[in-house]
Formats: sequence, structure tokens, C-alpha cells
Amino acid sequence: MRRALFFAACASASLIAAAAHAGQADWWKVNDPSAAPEQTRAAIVHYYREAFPKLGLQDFALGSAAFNAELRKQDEQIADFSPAGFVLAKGEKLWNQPFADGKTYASCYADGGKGVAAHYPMYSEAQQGVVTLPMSLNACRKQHGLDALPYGKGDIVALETYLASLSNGVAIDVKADSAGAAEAFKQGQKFFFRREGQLDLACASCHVGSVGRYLRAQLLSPSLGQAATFPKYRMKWGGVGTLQRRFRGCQKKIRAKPEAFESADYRNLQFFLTYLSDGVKIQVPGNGP
Amino acid sequence: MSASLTRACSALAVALATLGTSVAVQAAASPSDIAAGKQIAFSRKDGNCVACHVLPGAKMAGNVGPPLGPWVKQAFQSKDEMVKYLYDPQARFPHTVMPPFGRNKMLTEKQLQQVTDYLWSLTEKGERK
Repeated sequence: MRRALFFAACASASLIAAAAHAGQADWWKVNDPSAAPEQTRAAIVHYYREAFPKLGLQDFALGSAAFNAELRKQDEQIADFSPAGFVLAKGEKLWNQPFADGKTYASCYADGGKGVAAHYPMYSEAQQGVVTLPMSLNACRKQHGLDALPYGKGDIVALETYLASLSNGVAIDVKADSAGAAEAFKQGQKFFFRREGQLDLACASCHVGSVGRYLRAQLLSPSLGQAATFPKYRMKWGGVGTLQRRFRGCQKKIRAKPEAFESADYRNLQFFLTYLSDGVKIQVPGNGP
Repeated sequence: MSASLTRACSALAVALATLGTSVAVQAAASPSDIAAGKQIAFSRKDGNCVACHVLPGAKMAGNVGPPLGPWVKQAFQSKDEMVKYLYDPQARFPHTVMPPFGRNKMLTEKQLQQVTDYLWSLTEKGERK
């Protein structure tokens, strides 16, 4: 009997050692559904600082390249020939095109849009939900008698890229002070930690639990800092895309059903992710593989 | 794992190696099942084990999970137990990121057995290339 127990102890001990390798220890403990947004943010930032003590907060905006000097060089090379500059220029042109009343998009934002992106996504008490930059752009169009642009591609992405770039170097400062905002954050948190799809993975499985490890040849990026560089040029896309486009790609990969751009789930998730990155300086458009 | 348990387990491993194959009595796997299991483990659309695990001979394998090698035999008391684990790893480790290959119908029972036959047959540990 004792011998059998000993065999079992050896077997499970080696398997536990293997399981611990699969991620940083106890990473799932950063998910406390009853914690306030600020507590959750602090726990996740603390987790990252412990796991990667050599990295400063801003380093996480490098994405997976934060863990690999070779990749950093590669991203710089990508930036050199990146067409993101064209998208930015297109966005600027659209931004400055006057509406019928002679005003431009700048009239819809404080300080002509400078520093505005640091506060988005924003919880709107009036709309009882999260408002993203592209939604604010469409609201501006509507105010000036224009139809809304379709989300996720083309002009709206160019406009968002330009508007976000007006906050380059500004630290993300998303607030979740009200009860409604805290609830939106919690919904985003729930989505982030919920396993789904045939592969039964959560966003957090890769982007908390396996950060800095390779999925085949792909180095898994940290969720901290992700929000600071979107819209971003990705070689894989051959173009500039939004964070929500990346959400769709991840959901497809885990064989779950991707949601529509600006769905309530995606807005809450983006709100959660961006709030996590409070203090990280915006660098748009990002560039990566 | 505590240091004393580690030492005791190492001693056990040595003892097992000395005893050779007579200790763990398992049904012998056919070479074709082992080959089929390897193919499933390497294929992107089937098991795709190498997305997360280094296996001998795999190129661009991931390291989300540990490299797989002869040690896996020591982690399970029998092949059946490994098949059960692959079917739904969360039944044993609720927080593992490893997908439930059987529960979510990615692989059939037969395929899980073939993957097990392959993993059970490993005699060396792969290097990440």
C-alpha cells in the first residue's frame, strides 16, 4: 500500500512540475471577479513585474519583442518599410477634410483631438456603455450630417490611427470610477478569463499564463501594454488594423465564433485591456510581424 | 516537489531502469499506431502537440508546455491514464491551458490512443530548434 502511494506521489509530482512549466505559477489568481478594477489592474501589473523583473512598464508596449532583442530589431526593420505611414497620412487628410458646415473632426474633440486617445475607450454614463474612438468618430460624423462609416477597415481605421497618433507619447489614462464603468470593466475581465472555442482557451491562457513562450514560432505577447500600439501594422495582415481585429483573429484561432466590430463584448474587453495599460505611453501606429 | 521526494523519485527511476521493461507491463503498440500517433502530434489540423511541446524531430516547436520525452511514462501509471488525461487535462489540472482533445472532439478515442502509443514510445527528449 505504501509502495503504491509512493509511486502515485512520484507520478503526480513529475506531472505537477510539468504543469507549472506551462505558465507562470498560479497566474489565474490575478483574476478575482470580486475585486475592484484598480485592484485587478494592480494585481496584473504586479504579476508582470514579478515575472519579468528586468522590464519597465513602457517596455511592455513592445509586445512580444520585449522578450527578444532579435524580434525588436525585426520590428524596427518592419517599421522602416511599413505602409503604416500611408494610412496615417490618409487619416490626416480625412481628419482635415471640412464637413458641409466647414468644420472638421477636430471640432468634436477637446484641444482638437490632442491627448484625447489616452482617455479612450471611455465609459459613457449617457449611453450606459463603453464608447471607443471609432464610435466617437462616427458620432462626430452624425453631428455634421454624415453617415456612419463601417467599422474595422478603410477610412474609419485611418481616422482612428491619426486621432490616436495625436496622443503619441501620452500615458494611457482610462478611468473606471463609476459603478457603470466598473461593471463594464468586470464584463471585459470575465470575457478575458473565460475559456471558449474548441481549443477551450481564454485570452488569458496565452496572454497572461504563457506570455514570453512560443506557440510554434510565435512568441506570445503580454496583455499589459497591448492597447498602446493599436491601430498597428501587422505583416500578417499586410495592413493596419485595430485591437478588435486582433480579437477576431484570436477567437478564430481558438475555433470560437468571432464577434462583430464594436460588439458590447469587444468594447468591454478593450476597456478592460486599455485600463490595464494605464500609464503606458501611446505609440501609434505600432509595427509588428 | 520536495527535495526528499525528488531524491526518492530519482532512486525509483534508477531502479526502474535497472529492472528494464519487466516493471511496467503494457500492451505493445504496433509500429503503425505509433507512426499514426506521431503524425497526429505533428499535424497542425489534428493534435498539433508541437504548437506547445517540443518533440524529437519537430521543427519550430513551441514551449508553452514542457518538452515531451521518456519522462511522460513516469507521469502516468498506465497508457489508459494518459489517454484519459489527453481527453480532458482540466479534469486533473483545472487551470492548465492544455485543450481538451477528447472532450471537445478534436481527436477520436482511437487517435488519442495512437498519440499515447507514440508518446509512450519516446526514447529521447527533443531539442527546441
